[in-house]
Amino acid sequence: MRVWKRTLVQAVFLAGAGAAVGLAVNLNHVAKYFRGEYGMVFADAAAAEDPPLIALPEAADLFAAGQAVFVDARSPEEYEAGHIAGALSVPLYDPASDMIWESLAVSPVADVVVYCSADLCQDSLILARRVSRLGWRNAKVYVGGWLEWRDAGLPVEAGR
Amino acid sequence: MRLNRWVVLAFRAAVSGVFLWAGTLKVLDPLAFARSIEAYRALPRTAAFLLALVLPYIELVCGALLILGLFRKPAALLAAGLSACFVVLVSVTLFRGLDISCGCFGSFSSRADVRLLVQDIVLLGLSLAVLFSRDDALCLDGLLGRNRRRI
Repeated sequence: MRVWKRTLVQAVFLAGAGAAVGLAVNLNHVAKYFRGEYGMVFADAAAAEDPPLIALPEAADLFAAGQAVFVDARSPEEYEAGHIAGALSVPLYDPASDMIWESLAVSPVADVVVYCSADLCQDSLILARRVSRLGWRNAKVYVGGWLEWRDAGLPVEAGR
Repeated sequence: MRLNRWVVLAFRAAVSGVFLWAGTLKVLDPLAFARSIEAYRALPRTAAFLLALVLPYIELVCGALLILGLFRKPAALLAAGLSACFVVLVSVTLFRGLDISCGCFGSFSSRADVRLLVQDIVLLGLSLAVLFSRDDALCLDGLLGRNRRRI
């Protein structure tokens, strides 16, 4: 019994040591977090490689201007059940999603607005990163996603 | 049942490999990992953020000690504890019907689904096997005179 107690104490100590190292290494992140620099989604605005995150008004403006390409990162089933009007379906988890995307022949300078279901999903961010790495420089993430868009009464459609 | 010491070593190496790989990928992008944890909707925001900063290092410590065979039992206990938490978390996530990325391996993450649950259960089983094993091979504990029978 004593042996197990000692093992447990040592395990807790190891976890504590790991945690201490983690906090020490990431002090800058901790400071930024408590200064409120990581907004609605944990993302560092200063990190240039990340596509910008946009909110509903900006997404709606881009939609109204008719120049932006909306991309739905959710599953094909979710897309069929309802999506932002005119959005293209590029399911993040489809192994062929890069190929699907490249075959869509979207201009590399077009405004690409990627979204998923709601503000807590991250598929949109992951896909937007991938898309920008593939060369579409103006990829953005619409954070509010499908639910916010639908609830705002903006144009939607269903089916393939 | 008494496992052959080389089998225990293989288990140790497997668990260690998973933790080292997972920890490294998460250390590279703590913010992405914070988003992954938040997506589970199981923790308050600040807790999710702090956990994202410390968990990868705990995984690295655990993986490194396991493969070295240093503090073998405590490290195996820690690995088992972490795996058990993952099993519970993924089960709850599946039960709640959340469809999210597991966040376990940085940008190589798959979905939090039944397959992931099985992987976590296997990880838990291997960790427990190491924890309760009596013999082991190639351990620094032995070299340094830490009696492996007693620990």
